[in-house]
Amino acid sequence: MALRTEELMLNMGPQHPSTHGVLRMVVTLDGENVVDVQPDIGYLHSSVEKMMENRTYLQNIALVDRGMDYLSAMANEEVWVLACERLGKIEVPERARYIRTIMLELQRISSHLIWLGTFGIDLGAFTAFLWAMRERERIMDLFESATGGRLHHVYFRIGGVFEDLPEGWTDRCEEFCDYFLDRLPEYDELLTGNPIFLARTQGVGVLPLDTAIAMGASGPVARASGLAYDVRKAHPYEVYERVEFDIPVRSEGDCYARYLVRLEEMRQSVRIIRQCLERLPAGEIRSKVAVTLRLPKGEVYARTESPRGDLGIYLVSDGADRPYRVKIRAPAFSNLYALTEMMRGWKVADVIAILGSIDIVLSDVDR
Amino acid sequence: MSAQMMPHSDGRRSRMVRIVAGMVGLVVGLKSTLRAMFEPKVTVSYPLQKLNVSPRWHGLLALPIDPETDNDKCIICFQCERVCPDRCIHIEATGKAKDRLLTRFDIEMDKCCYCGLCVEVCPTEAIVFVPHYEASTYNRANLLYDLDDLHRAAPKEPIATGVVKVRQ
Amino acid sequence: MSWALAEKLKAAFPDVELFPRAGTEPAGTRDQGPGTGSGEQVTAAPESTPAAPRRPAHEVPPQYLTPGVYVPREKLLPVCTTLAGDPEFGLTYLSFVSAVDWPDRNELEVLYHLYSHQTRQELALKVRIPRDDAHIPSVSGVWDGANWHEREAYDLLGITFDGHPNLRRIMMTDDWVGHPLRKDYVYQDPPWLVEVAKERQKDAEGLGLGERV
Ligand code: SF4
Ligand code: SF4
Repeated sequence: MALRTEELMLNMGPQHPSTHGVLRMVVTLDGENVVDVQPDIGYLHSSVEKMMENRTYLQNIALVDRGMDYLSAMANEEVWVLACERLGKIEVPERARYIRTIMLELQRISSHLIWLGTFGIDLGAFTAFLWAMRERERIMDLFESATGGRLHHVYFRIGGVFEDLPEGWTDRCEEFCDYFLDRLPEYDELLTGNPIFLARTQGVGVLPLDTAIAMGASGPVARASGLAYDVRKAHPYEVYERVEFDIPVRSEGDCYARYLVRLEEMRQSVRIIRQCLERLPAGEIRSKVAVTLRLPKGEVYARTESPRGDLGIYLVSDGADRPYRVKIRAPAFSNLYALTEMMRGWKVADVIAILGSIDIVLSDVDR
Repeated sequence: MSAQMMPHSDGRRSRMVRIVAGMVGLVVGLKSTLRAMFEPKVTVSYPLQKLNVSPRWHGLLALPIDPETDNDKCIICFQCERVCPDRCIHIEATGKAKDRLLTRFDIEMDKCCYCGLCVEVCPTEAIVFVPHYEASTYNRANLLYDLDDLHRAAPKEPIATGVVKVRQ
Repeated sequence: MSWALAEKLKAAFPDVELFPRAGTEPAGTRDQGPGTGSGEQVTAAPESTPAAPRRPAHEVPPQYLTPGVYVPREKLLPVCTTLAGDPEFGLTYLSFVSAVDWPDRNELEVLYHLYSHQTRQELALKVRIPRDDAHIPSVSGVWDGANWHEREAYDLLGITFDGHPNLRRIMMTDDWVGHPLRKDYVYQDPPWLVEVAKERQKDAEGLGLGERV
């Protein structure tokens, strides 16, 4: 005789330690198996796009820092100044472009470290979190001495960067690179070879390549599914076409592949930083741009590779001193949508692992 | 739902091999945690110890007194007020040209996002960041810094008083 | 940044219209293209002073740095199906769906940004629809990823996507009134919130939490 079963609706969040912010997931369960997941977002919605319409181009640098993805403020600043510079045809001095690249890669490492730590926590490995924070603290110190802010820097300017690097900064950055490469194998010992970690990630939450593309996934999530696409390579900005680095791509598309991709990306970031430090030219760091800049009328789409993926800004200017319309293409928003596909059919305990593996930041999702 | 019924099983390896591999993996992990135990501490016990911040630190804002003129350096150009994205600086002045006098210079520190744009645009470096970061109070009104507070460059009511400052 | 795709699309669908390109457009044309006459939207103070001729910004035609085409509303679905399905275009990746509000022209420009991972080409699509009849066919059948982006555009700009499987608000609460990214949107506290705020203020005064001046 067949047992009568019923589907169960389970609410995860908005306040839940595994959701990394305020995300509510309505999980439909059949026994322990996930039938459907509907992420409910918007708890952190601050309508940054509307706010940006009311601020000047300069002021918006301060806004994109916190209004968008707060764990990678530099990447947000980058995409914003890039859009403005493309539209205004503003030159950026060479040194500033190198400094920006260094900062962006440091930001990528720090963002991936946070992800690594929280992913460890999600799977019950608390040590990884503390260690990741220890490493990240060094990056924060580097940021602090160069920009004055640890999380929100307001460092990039349209046409350059705010201030030159302080004395001795490059040496300290070099030192950090050595230190970090020393430390990375520890994570291999802690997580990569850990049987519990493997059992919970390998083969879990598979996202096939064609689904990933159709759902608009990007960044490490898509690269773990086999999509060899990185904006830094495909459409280089700043000095990415001049440095050598590889894009890690895996074909499995599971949580473990996403983990490996990000781990390898950190190594590649160190490689980029080292090359930039080596070639860092002297000279100007900022071209002259008025405080109340008026961009010419027009539209442009600028895109960059943020730690979470394909981050773009579509900027519409009407010739005034503030943007007419800004559309932010947030990578985490699309990646979170792909989650619905990843989770179907897995056990309820895997929900947390899968959610942790796509590295969402809710302020990026909700903006 | 067949593919996911037993997602973790690995048919090729026997149970025994998996157990041994698991033990090895755990031992490797424990070894590195053990090693970390004997490394120097990286944390500071915050209220007792404090870290020095960098000279560029975006801390609290202040209008320091210039010893030469015994007044701040503000020339009342309203640039900082205009550039502030959060519109949290409020300046009022009386008089004309050379005799202009600041009658009000308020910064709502609770709205301030520490972006540093006001410091950047100020032509005389009258408004600066001070390396102070303990501004929390029990009273929100205390976060409205007026001219006197900004001259003193200190928060009204520091909650962590009497702490030992350990230079690192 | 090549316009080849846009031109190819124009050849296949004569109805579409390329974004005006710098160089092809004689200076000072005011007939088409967003941006014309919208300078009034921002406070017109600096513009209205006699010094205005110094900056003839509104005379310069807008520049479109991203290749793109205008598509008529009826043609959107066939165009999109071709773009996504035809290997000649191969635009299988939808970056986002959004819209730009132009109240002075009574127009919403629905904006799609497409990308091809193979050829590394991008293409923006724009569909002009009247503000008071903001209906457009949904492309979520073509690109699955459009689902949430269209919900967002519906939520924030009030565009109804016909044929969308689940057209609900996504950012704002379900009972929200208005569409915040429209230019004429004015935020108003709902009555219950005003009440709550008053209560809070009373509590705060009782606790001596201070009042702001
Ligand atoms: S730091 Fe920024 S937010 Fe704060 S007062 Fe200065 S300009 Fe305003
Ligand atoms: S910008 Fe400097 S000089 Fe001008 S009003 Fe502000 S503090 Fe005073």
